[in-house]
Amino acid sequence: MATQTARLQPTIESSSGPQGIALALRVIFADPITFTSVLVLLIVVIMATSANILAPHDPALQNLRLRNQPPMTASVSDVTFPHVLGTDQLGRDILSRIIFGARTSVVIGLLTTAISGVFGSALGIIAGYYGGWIDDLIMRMVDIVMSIPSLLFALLLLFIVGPGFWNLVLALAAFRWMLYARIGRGQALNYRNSPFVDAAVAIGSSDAGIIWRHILPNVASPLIILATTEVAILILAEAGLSFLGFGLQTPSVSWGGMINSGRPYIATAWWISAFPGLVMLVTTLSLNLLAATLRSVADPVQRGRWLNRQRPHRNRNRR
Amino acid sequence: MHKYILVAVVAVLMTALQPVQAQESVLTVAVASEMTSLEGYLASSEANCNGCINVVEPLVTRDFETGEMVPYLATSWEIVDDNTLEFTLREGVTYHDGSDFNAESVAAYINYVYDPANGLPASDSLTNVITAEVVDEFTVRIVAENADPILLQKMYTVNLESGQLITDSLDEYPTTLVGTGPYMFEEWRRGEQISFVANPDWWGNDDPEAARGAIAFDRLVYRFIPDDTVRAAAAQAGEVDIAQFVTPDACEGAADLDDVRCESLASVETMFMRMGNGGFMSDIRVREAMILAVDKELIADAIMGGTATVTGQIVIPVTTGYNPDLPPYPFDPERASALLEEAAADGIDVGQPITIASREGLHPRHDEVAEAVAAMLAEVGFNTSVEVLPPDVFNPTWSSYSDDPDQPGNWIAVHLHGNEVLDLYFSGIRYFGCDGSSSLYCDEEVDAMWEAANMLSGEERDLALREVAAVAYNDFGNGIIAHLNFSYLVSEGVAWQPQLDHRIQAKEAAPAS
Amino acid sequence: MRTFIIARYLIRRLLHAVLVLFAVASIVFFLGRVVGDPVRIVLGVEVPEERVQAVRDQLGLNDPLPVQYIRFVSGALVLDFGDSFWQKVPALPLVVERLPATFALTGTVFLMAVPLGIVLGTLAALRPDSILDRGISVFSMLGVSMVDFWLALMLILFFAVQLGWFKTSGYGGFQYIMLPALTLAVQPFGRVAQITRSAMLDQFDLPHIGVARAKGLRERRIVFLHAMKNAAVPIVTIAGDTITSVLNGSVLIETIFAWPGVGQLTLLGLGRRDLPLVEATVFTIALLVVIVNLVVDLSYAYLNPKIRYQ
Repeated sequence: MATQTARLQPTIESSSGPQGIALALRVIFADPITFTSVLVLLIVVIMATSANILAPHDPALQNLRLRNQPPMTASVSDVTFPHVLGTDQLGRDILSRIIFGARTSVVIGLLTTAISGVFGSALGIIAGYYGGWIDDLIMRMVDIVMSIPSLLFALLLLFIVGPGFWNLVLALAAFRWMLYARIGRGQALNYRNSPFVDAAVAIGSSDAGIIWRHILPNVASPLIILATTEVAILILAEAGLSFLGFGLQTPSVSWGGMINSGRPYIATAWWISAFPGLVMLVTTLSLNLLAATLRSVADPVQRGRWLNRQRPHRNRNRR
Repeated sequence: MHKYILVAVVAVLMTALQPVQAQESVLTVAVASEMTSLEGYLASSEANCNGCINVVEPLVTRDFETGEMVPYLATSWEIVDDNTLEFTLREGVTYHDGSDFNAESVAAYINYVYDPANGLPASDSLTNVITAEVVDEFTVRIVAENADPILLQKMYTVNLESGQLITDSLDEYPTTLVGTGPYMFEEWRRGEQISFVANPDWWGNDDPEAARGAIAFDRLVYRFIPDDTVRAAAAQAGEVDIAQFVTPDACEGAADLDDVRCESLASVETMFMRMGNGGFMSDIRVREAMILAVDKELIADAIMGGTATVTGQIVIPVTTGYNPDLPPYPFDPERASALLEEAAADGIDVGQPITIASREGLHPRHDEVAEAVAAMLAEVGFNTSVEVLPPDVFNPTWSSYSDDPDQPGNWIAVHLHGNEVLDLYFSGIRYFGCDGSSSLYCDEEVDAMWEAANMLSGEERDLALREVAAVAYNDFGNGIIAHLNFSYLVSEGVAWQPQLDHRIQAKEAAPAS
Repeated sequence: MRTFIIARYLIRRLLHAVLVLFAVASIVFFLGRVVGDPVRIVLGVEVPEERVQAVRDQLGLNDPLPVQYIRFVSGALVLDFGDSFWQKVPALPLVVERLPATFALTGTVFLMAVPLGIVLGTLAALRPDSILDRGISVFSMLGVSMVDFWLALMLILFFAVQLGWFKTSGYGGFQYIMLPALTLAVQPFGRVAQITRSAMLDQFDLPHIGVARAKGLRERRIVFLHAMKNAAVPIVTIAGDTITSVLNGSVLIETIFAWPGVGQLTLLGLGRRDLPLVEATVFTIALLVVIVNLVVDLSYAYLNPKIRYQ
């Protein structure tokens, strides 16, 4: 992190090449991996938003006589959809639970990232822009919170407030804002002394106006890249907390909770934990791959390399 | 880092030296939880002090085949009155610290550990306070504060440590264990294991029959492996000889394995819905509907994988007061719905929200049972939700609920009750009594019957308790589901069978011949 | 003069470290006092209210918060966090006796992840888009996307139960440490390899490497003389992060593998609402993190004169 923030990054505005939606589309279609990642994430979002329509069964409907059934088991009545991914330890349809679980996992990932991202970035930009004791105070806070391993810190908080959706979101957010603060501060420091900020100060713009119009657009891209990987980390963190007994309570369905509840059956009914695990893996993998692409595109040095990747002679030249 | 290097070096050396060394026989047990301290009063429960029962011993013990109390460190006893027992102690027994076992040492130990003023919860588990008086060198009197017809049965949970430990080095009481047993405490490596070594001077070596076992291993190692899957895996991989409390699935899986077998045995633990007769459950139809709605057979067979026995009573059959005429409650969802509709027609709000609660880590699958119960109740028309709570949230709610007159009776806990004393009175006053510490059920007539029965002993007591059991049963006070088995994976290299109390006593195990 | 600057820098860093530790301890103290009810856990369900109050008195939990805090601070100054509620012996020694296991695990993970990650990351940077490069990318991406406890159980079932190469759980030498270390090393290895790769690639694009190339120096020399030195800063950062992330992941992984380290103790302490023990474990872990950060900071100063002692 230190170097990323220390190194002066040119603004997106100043770099050449396509912009906005045109750039985004070109990036997505330029590379099959990125394309697939975006597709996967789109599917997950669709699952999350229209779970009621997509799920073939009621995710909470138990049928103890059909517990731990392997994939492709026929459902009780012939008219309904078979249990394509099998049933869990209470005879509930795993596919339907995965679809409903997408909602919880996506909401937790996005909400927590939004809260920690906005909070951390704001603190970081304020620290970098104003400097002095404000900077000292905020960065000491960051140091302190960073000295407690994050999962442990979230656990501590959850022990106090108890399990629950909002408690989980806040406890996770409480230990993930520091990186945004560090990056935001580093970026803000860079632009604080740039000519266009000097110019804005000279014509008498307010601090808030300068931050909003000049600093924020420039620091946004590293923060967005960080946020993309953070969503993945938080989806995984929810699973870890489920394991430790601090995940969401029933009737909430989450992928982490599903993996954890299938844990005792790993040797006998692998599908209970394997399918939600696989879906979680594909989702977090897509997020991480997308973040890698964004990082390459945002970095002017790598961007040219990346957008011209199809041309093989470049590699040969490099040798 | 040092210890790690040392361990590595020792491991290499041990492999290198093994052919030369005489083979030391070790029994390795994987247990689910780690003890909190080595205070001797914890030893009566395997979960509270792993393996400690190999070190400390009681005055009398129980024969699980007959249910009778039998002599152990005491060779005989006499019931002086309702409050007093006189024990004649075995001679020639020494503690592991070399001091002699006699009336004085017994009195020194009991008078410290069972005195509530010393801040130890030992007397709570007896629900009475006991003191000891020296009569002569090998005769001691145990005196209970309150009249107690089953004081002798309770003495089964009182394990004795050296009196010298209490008088000379009290500071060490929580960190060491000095008893008279077949194995001596060696080392407790926190987070890892506790180990014991054979006691060559054990009194039982001369009298295996009275000692109910023999020393067959040089060393015992109890390893703490909290994860159910990993504990079973350790037994399958041959790393441990006995894996305690494995899931029914692990047991089923063991059927296909050559080196490992599953031992599953009923325990005193009974799974039940703590209901009571408060709030809208003061209507007997609501209570009956609730109990009829639950498919106990399905829970026992499907969720517990057959390692549970459906029952209608909170105690197991060998218990004093168990009534053989009371069958498990039937499963009848139609009647349950009908009863509920009837109650609703009489203006009872049957749709009010009910929480089905359970405590984290209670036993494998308990959370699934709670979810299944909630779904079954919802099926007949109750409005249920599920909460699996950590102990510090569950415990106070569980124990103080009945004190709060404003709380409606709609916090239903799926919980376990284990009556180790094997006398119904304890379970009765706790769950079917107005003053019971965990009771939501209150009926003054029933209370009077409990107290009357408690004045009796022997056959009369049994019959009186059976009668109260039947009254409470017909009043649908609590939703009894099933007696639980506990299961173990055991190496084929070891001959051992669990006992009803589920203590793992090495003197009952031996290398398989 | 130079020694003076270094000394002043060191003292500043140390003071900073002490401040951080003090703040962490205070946070945990105040969080701890609102956590559940430790006494109920210690005593169980069936205990009368008078006994609960007696124990609360005995443990000092009925005193006003400021009094408890002053007692806590004066104890913490001499590294006395009080007796563990749960094990009834002083809390800090309980944590200290867990340190060898934690160090062994952290050290093994570090050795598995960092040198290998640097070597493979460098090789990948030398041949971008080669099979090795893509392989490392895929592996590290999978590593950071995997649910760790699920991976742990799979490793146990495969390597310990099926193949019998390693032990399922427990504390000991090579056979015992391999699986937990492997589980914990997957993520840091991927991150180290990725960061090394991109740091090296950045260096290759810089003019002085181009000059060195033009001079016809052998590739390997270029790598080690120029690129490595300059790419070291991000690599050191991520190496330091490796230790922090192992300490973090150890809460879960040590519990699964029954590895008697600080992480496992922390979870047990939290579960039993053992305030002194939780305070001591969090303090110890924070101390380790602060030391690692201090070392990382000092090596920045050594590696990159530009950020030296500012």
